[in-house]
Amino acid sequence: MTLPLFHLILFRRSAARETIEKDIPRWIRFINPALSSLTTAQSLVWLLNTESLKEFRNLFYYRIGRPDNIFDRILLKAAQSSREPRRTLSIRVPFIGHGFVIKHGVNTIVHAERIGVNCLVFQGVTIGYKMPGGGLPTLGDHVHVSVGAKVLGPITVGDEAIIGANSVVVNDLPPHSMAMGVPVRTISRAGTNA
Amino acid sequence: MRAMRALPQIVLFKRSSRRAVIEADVKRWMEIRRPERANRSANENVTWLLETFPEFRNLLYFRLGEYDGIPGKLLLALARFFFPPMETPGFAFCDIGPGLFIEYGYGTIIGPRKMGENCRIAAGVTIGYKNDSDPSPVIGNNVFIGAGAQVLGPITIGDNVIIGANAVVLRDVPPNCTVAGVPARIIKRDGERVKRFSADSH
Repeated sequence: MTLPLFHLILFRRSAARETIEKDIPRWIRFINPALSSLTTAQSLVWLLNTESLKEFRNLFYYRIGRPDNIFDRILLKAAQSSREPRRTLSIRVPFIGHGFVIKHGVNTIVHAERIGVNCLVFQGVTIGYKMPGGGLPTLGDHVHVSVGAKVLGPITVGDEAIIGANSVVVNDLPPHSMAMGVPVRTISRAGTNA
Repeated sequence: MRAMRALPQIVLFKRSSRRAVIEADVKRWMEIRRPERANRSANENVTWLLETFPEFRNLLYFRLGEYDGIPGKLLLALARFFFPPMETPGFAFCDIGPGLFIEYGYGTIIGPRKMGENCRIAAGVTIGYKNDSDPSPVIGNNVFIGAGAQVLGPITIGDNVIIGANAVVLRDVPPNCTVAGVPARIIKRDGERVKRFSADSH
């Protein structure tokens, strides 16, 4: 695989550079901790070049956004055609905090009002509206959304909440809670070190 | 130039025996995705939908079906070359009414025996058989199927039913109900909440 030159230039010129720099160590930690000694640029090249990590490309293009000058727009077009993103992953959020990790990203829809820092989302997750035209969820910091979970409607998920596999969350979740099942049962984790 | 790429599709769609069904689909998709453009010509809208939503391509090729003659086969091959469909949504050989809207369609398998008009299907849905010997479900009009739901076995879903996210529906659902859960049970009937263990909810 060749060096992703377009991506590196975009990365250097982008306003979101610091955010991407904070994303990279978390991706490396979750995907391949053996590479933690690499520099930021080396990690970025590895993440972009790995064919099984196409979801990182989605996040990268999301962070770059729509550039305001024509030079960057052409660069982005060239970048996107040389490193194709995952086609079954849709991110549409006004703001995502740094350290956002998507694992596998197959059949994943992330449409929210706001997502805090260091969140983790797995495959099969839908974050979006409950009924057509309804409101979108707001996720706090350090939220884990596990495999196949659905977070729907204009709700607020508190900081450090864990949402279990295949659960359906349609009501607010307090901070430090754990939610599981359909309909969801909530267990408070307040006061624990977890 | 842009319209030229969608020329095979437009020719196929204009000559198709299911032209009215496809026009209804296009109208529904435009009303949901871009309501201010819904009144433009069908050709223009088909081109825009093909470019913007890969899942629409799957629906269009399913509606067009197979062709026996050489010209039809050639045009379809050309169409698929310019606008390749996604791997999913996948359709079994089934009878689906006009106005079907598929949202994203990632990991979606649509294989009912019969499906009514104006249904709406979210991502990750499976509609199909429970085991090989059973027939597939029959689904009414205006049914909304939420993300990740599964509708399985020889069952009948009534009109205006809402199936919640991640529900597993294994029994008949009467019209105007909302079902959710694993296995799915009725949580709303005619807009009123049903108590958890009442006799008439299954």
